[in-house]
This record gives sequence, C-alpha cells and structure tokens, in this order.
Amino acid sequence: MKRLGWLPVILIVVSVLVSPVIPAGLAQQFPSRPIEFVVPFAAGGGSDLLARAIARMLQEEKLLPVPIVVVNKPGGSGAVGYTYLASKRGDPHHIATVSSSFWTTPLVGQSPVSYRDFTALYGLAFDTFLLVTRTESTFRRMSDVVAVAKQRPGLVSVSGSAIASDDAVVTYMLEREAGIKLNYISFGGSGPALVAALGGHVILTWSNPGEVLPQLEARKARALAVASAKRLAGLPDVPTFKELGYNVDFAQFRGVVMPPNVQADAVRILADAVGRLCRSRRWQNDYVEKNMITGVCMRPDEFGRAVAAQHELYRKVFAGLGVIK
Amino acid sequence: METLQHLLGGFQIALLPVNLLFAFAGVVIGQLIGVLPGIGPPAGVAILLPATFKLNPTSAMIMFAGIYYGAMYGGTITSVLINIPGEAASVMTTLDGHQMARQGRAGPALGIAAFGSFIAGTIATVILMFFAPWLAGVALSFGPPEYAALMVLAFALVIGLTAASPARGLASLAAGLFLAVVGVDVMTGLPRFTFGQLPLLDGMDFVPVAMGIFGIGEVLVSLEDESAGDAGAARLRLADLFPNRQDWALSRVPILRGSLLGFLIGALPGAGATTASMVSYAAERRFSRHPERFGHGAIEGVAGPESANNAAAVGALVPLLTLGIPGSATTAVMLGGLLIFGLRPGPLLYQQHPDYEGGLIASMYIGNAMLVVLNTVFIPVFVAAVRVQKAVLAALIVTFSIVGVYSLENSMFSVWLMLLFGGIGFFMKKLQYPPAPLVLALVLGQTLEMAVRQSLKMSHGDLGIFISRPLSAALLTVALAMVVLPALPALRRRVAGGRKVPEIPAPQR
Amino acid sequence: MRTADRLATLALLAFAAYVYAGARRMPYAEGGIPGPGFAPTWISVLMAAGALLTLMATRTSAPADCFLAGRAAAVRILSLGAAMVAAALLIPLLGMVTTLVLFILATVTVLGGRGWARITAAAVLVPLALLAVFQVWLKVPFPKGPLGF
Repeated sequence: MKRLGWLPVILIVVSVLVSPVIPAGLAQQFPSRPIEFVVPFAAGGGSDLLARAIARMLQEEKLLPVPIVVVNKPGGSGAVGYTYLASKRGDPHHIATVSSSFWTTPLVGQSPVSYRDFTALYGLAFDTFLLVTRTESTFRRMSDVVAVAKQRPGLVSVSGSAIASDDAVVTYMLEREAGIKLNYISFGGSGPALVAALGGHVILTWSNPGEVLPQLEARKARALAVASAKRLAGLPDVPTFKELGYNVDFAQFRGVVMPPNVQADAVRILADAVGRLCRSRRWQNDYVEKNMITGVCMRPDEFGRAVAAQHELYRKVFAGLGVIK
Repeated sequence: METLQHLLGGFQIALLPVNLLFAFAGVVIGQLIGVLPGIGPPAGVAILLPATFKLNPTSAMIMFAGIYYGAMYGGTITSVLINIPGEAASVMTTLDGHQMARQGRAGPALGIAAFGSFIAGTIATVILMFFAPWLAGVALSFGPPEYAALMVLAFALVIGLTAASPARGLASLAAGLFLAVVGVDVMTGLPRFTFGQLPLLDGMDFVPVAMGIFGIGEVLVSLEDESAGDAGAARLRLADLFPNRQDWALSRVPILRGSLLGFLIGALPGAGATTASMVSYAAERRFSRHPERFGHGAIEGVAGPESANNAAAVGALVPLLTLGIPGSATTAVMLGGLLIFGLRPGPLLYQQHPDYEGGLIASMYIGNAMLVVLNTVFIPVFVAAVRVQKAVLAALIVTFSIVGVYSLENSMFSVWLMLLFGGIGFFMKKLQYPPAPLVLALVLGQTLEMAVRQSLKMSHGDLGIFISRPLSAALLTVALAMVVLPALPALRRRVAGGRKVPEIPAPQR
Repeated sequence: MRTADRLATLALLAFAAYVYAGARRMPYAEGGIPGPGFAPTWISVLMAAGALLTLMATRTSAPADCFLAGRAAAVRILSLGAAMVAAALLIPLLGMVTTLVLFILATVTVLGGRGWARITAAAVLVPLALLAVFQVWLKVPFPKGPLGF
C-alpha cells in the first residue's frame, strides 16, 4: 500500500510537464478545427435528425474543409444546450439547431438565454400542422367541429404534446379565430397525442403532415384542415383554415444558429456552405421531401429577422394563453 | 398459412449473407451497449444511424432491432456481476441476480437470463407475427383511464415488495413518487421541485438514480468488509456455471409469464421494457409460494424480468410496424431512421413492403439464436472477469459508472446526480430501506399522475370515467383483488403449518 | 444503529414537510381536475406516514448492530466517497481520462490493492479503453485536459 504512494505524484508531474507541448489553438483561417453541432435535445428527435443530416451531407458533398461533430446536450427543454452554446461567445466552431423550444423555453422563463443571445446562421424549413380526427369520428369537416364547440364550449377535446408547445399555440389560434373553446389535453409528445386520437379517447389532435401521412393513406385518420397559407402538395384535398374563413397560419420553424459575437467572416463562410447544401437536389430529395416539410433557404440577415418575428408571434400567443404576463 | 408463407419469404431475405452479417453486427453492438452502463439502446441506435444510410432499409432495420434486443441481453451481465444495471430495463435483475453472484451462482443467473431471453424473444416474435394487427387495436383502446388503472395494478403488485418492512417500504415508495414529480409539469407548464437546476426541468432521469442507488451505493456498502482480496464473486466450478435442473423447474413458469406480460406491456405505446421488467418482478414475487426468498438470490427474480424485457423489446415493434407510432425511445429513433430511407411505417407498411416486415421478423429468430449462443459461450469469461481484487473492482465500477452516466447527456450534472444517489443508496442499504419501491415508483409514478389527470380532464372532473369504461374497470378490479387477496396465501400457509420451507440463504451484505 | 435510524426518519419527516410546503404553493385542483400540487401534497403525506411508522417500528424492535463495522471501515468508505467527489470536480479541469487514471491509482492504493504493476496497468488501460469505445466509436466528447485527453 505504501509502495504505491508515489505513483499518482509521478503522473501529475508528467501531465504538467507534457501540457505545454500541445499548441493552444493557433490563430488560423476559419474553420481551423472540427465544428461542433450542438443538438439541445436527445438523440433521435427531429432536431437530432436534422443536425445529423446536415453534418453528413456537408461532409459528403465536401462543402466544408473540416468535419462536423454532432453533440447532444439535452435537458431543460433545450435550455441546457442553448446555454452551453451561448457560453461559446465569439467562437464560430460551434453551431446549434433551432426549433420551437428556442423561442418558447425562454418565453416561459425557463432558460437564462433567449434568441437575442445568438447569431442567426440559416433558416431551413417550415413544418405545418394538420387538424386530425379518426375515421370513425362523426366530425366530418371543420364546420362540424365549430358547430358543436359553439354549442357546448369545452366539450370537444384535442390532444397535444404540452402546454406552451406548438400544438397548444395553434389550438389557441383556432379558438380565437373561430370563437370557440376546446378541451386541450397534454400527452407529453406528439406520438402519444396521435395515439389518443386514433383510439378515440380524444376527438381531435394536431399532427405534422409527415407524422400522420401513413394514417391518412390507410384511412385510419381524416385531416379536417391544414394550418398553412396554401394547400399542401401531398394532400390537395385538405382545405386550409384560411379557405374556411379562419386566419390560422402557423408552422414550426427549423434552422441553425451560432454563438453570440462571432466574426462576420465566419458567419459568411458557414452560411455559404449551408446555403449550397440547402439548394442542392440531394437536400430536397433526402430531407425536405422525405419529411414532408416546406423547405426554405434563408440567408443570415433574412433568418435573423424571421427569428425576431417568430419570437414576437409566440410572445403574443403566450400572453393570450395566460402562460406569460 | 399465409403468415407462414410470409415467414418463409422472410427467412429467404434474412438468410442473405448481408442481412446475416447485419443481424450479427446488431446483436453484438447491442450486447456491448447493454453492458456499458448509462448509454442505452436509443442512443446506440441514434449514433449508428448515419453509418447505415448506405444500406437498404431492411438490412438497417434488422441491425437496429438487433441492437435493441441485444442490449436487453447485455444489460443483464453488469447487473448480475457488479450490481450496476447496464441499462434501465435490467434494474430489477440486480435485486436477485447480484445476490446469486455473491453466493457464487453468477453462472446460473446469467444462464437463466440468456435462455429466458431467448425463449421470451422467440415467443414474442411468434406473437408479433400472428397477432400484431389485433394487438395494435388493443393498444389503441388503452386511453388515459386504462393507463391509470394499469398503473394502479402495478402499484398493487409493488406493495408486495415492501412486505419485509412495510413502513420503510412506504417511505421508499414515497421518495420514488416524489422524484417522479420533479420537473416541468406537462399539463400546466409549472416547474416542480427543480431546485434551480436547468437539467431537472425535464424531470429526474432514471438511469443516474438507479446507477447511484444500486451501483455506487453497493460499492460503498461492500467496502465495510475487511477482506480486500477476493470480490466474493465466484469460486469457479464448471458444473456451477449453468442453471441446474432445480433452477429450470423454478424458472419455467416465470419465463413464460414474463414473456407474455413483457410483450403485452411493451406493445402499449405508453409503457416500455423497464415497466415490463418491473411488473414481471413484482408479479413473480407476488405469485411465489416463497416470496421471502426474493432479494436473497431467487432465480425466478432473474428469469421473470429478464424474459419480460426481451419480450417487451419485441412488443414495442407492434405500434411501430402497425401504426407507424413509436412506443418507446428506441423505436422512435428507428422510425427516424426509416424515414431517411423513405420508408414510412404505418398501417399500410405490410401491403407496401411485405419483404421488409417478413425479413425483419425472420431475422429476429436468427438474432435471438445468435445471442443465446454468444451469451452462454462467454459466461465463464464474464464470471472470471470479476475475480479481481476488491479494491480494483471498486475503483473500476466507479470508473465505468462515471463514464457511462456522463455519456447519457454529455454533462457532469448526471455524474453529480449519480454520486448523490450513491450516498442515498448507501444509507438506504445500511438502514434497511428497500431500494426497489423507490425506483419502481420513479418509473411508474409519472405515468400514473399524468394518466389520472388526463382522464379527469377528458371527463371534466367526473371520477366515474375509471369505472364506466370496461377495460379500466376490469384492471381496477384485478388491482383490488391483488390488495385484498394477499391475506389468503398467508392464511393457507398458516393452515398448512409445518410444511417444510426450503432453506433460505442468509442475506449477505 | 438506533440513533442513525431515528436521525434518518427525522430527516425524512423534515423532507416531507419541505415537500408539503412546496406543494401547497402549487394549484391543488381546478373543477375536480387535479392540478400540479395534488400529487406532491399526497406524496408528502405518504412520506411522513412512512417515516412515522418506521419511527414506531424502531422503538419496539431491538437495536441491531452498530452503524458501521469499526473505524477502518468508515475510513475506507469516506475515502472512496471523497475520491469520487474529487474526481467529479477534477474531470472538467484535467480531462476525463487523466482524472480517471489518477482516480483508479488513488483509490486502489488507499483501499489496499496489491501488485503495483497490475494496478498501474489497469489504471492506464481501462480509461484508455473507455476513451476508445466512448469517444472514438460512440462519438461521446469527453472533457479534455491539458494533455489533450
């Protein structure tokens, strides 16, 4: 036991001696080392798939000279990951995915950092919502829902993932536009919410087109309306809320942000690479079409304005919902 | 007949060299991910996803499924040998599996787990093949009131686990329930008991808690004994390495029961392999003639839950394949992967891609066979691996745990959480508070609270919703029977009086 | 043992009171639908009941052996506890692998391991193997220290 006493000491001495040999981040042209792509959610979610698709395609199309490493930093509905990214002030070798929680978590006061703490890099996709009911339901069109809901406020139930989430936002928009009151029930995720509607435990649910398409094709579910400005190419028979006279136009927004105070040159280099990817045929086929989303290619300045606008939209809805003062 | 033809077609696909290779790769990777504490099947599949983009979807799915059920085999090994659950669904295995290892019976524990998993995996695959569409309908009829009733039933079984010391069991259960409410309340958005910690907003993560209480707590307790040499793990005799005739006799029924329970619970989108293994353990103890043997190395306590978690991994494929809706974190990642291949699972998957589903199911028979061979052949190696000095073993267990828990969320927070619960686990063990009710309540409590509140929101506050729905009423009746009936076997035993009870091995610390 | 047991139940009672106080600040129920405060309120009651029943049970039962088997045992347990906390503090500074090598060397030494060649081998090889599996293969980024790992 005593004989071992010197071993830790030697190791510490060696480690201290060797440390100056490693060069500490030589100033070079950006990007000089691998880029860390932070996903503020667990592996396997929508943000994770987006990040891994971007990382892989950027690499295979050789759009950047360095590799991109996807790192999941889940926790606190995105707060952990975004707080981490904000701490990398001025270091352009870090980027992160943007999804609804980027705006909603700070708005409900559960994150120390908000959209103002980041540099907008690129806007990539919109994902809208369908109002869905199961095929056996007697609610055949939107007017049925509104008629019953007007007569008996709070009777018609709609499942969603959580309060202060996107489906709660679009529920609120519909309630306000149609002058009705629905019974919104949280199920902790969009999958369980859809199951509850398919099982007939709730009457309505909100789903992204990509999520519910197999059910629609198999005639297990019926889409009553879509919350986009125009009808979806894949579902030409589903009317928009606007056509039906309700001004409900809402979509989840996905993109990429960088830490605060990064050099404009670095933003330009990364934005060029992501922009070339965004306009490629491969991106359209492998990401946009397969996930049934609306692809966009928003440059940093345009994306920055859109980020602020989206924040304003959530803020108004949350104030109306009473989630924030 | 038609199903069998599909299966034959499936075997033709599954036996293609490339698919055999990916099934083998999947089960080996799964086994490894199961052995590594912390990192679980969802993360494993997600990380390997990009590597499979060049494959065809059938090969990829064969590999993913292999990872999932392979991990269920692998999780057993560390649970039995060093009391650290390799992944969440193996937590219950630590209770009796590790006790068996301390009595020099690590081999039979690992053996029965491997064979039980194989039998359960095979039975579950058969059920999946014949009854998947019907089961999907059953799963859909489970709404919030049914989940609430199912959780009540599970808790009624858990009460049995506290029999040795009801007061301490109750305290442990309440602590677990408390941990289950930590985090943002999904129904109202209100954060509850997060102690100002951002990571806790998403709720208390199960894995650091379980690894702390079982793994780290156990290491601390083991240091009390003077003997620094042998880990007390095993004296090797070849005959002791495999389950004997008596082990088999004891395990037969638990394996079958675990398979069915596990498959059914796994097929429910709101439950999962962890719940399945817990319910199976509680049920085995509840139905056992000698519940007092549980916690002291009862082989049924390994056979039941290990079969259940494997069957549940197969059952979780039911909602994925028939509805296109993931029933667990792992199947959610698989779904994401399938989308990248342009394959959208759903009610029409079978019509649109019959070879895909047939090939997957056939590969699962093959993969399970590979795993049982792999696991039994290496049992002597695994058992020998822990025959190192106790000091070294203690340091290595902590090292593995720290790295594993760090990899969960790439953060030191999980490590600190594990250390905190390691301390709590140490005191619980010293003061004889049973740890099982705590971890069970943590897993089941969240679902129970959510389901009750959702149900009452559906019914606008009317409690009648729980008894007016037949399925929920039936489940609640069974739960009531579970609580009322325990008096009966005790009574019967009292009447039977002097009947010989097998020697109970003394609990060793 | 009895003292430790009683202290534990008192701590549990205090915690139950804390949970109850926290739960009372959350909405209890609204229109017959339980709010976020409903579950924690009743959990705190369960916890208090468990603690009180345990207290009563310990009063009647005979005191078991003492809490720890002697001073040496306490030293071993406390030193491993301290080493784990130290490791958790050092990982962000020295890096995962370096810290774990030091951790293994230190704990094995203190806990009375024998044969320094084997111990050193284990202390160096195990963290390196973990580095290979987790960082290289599973792409988990470990905290890096001045040595670069």
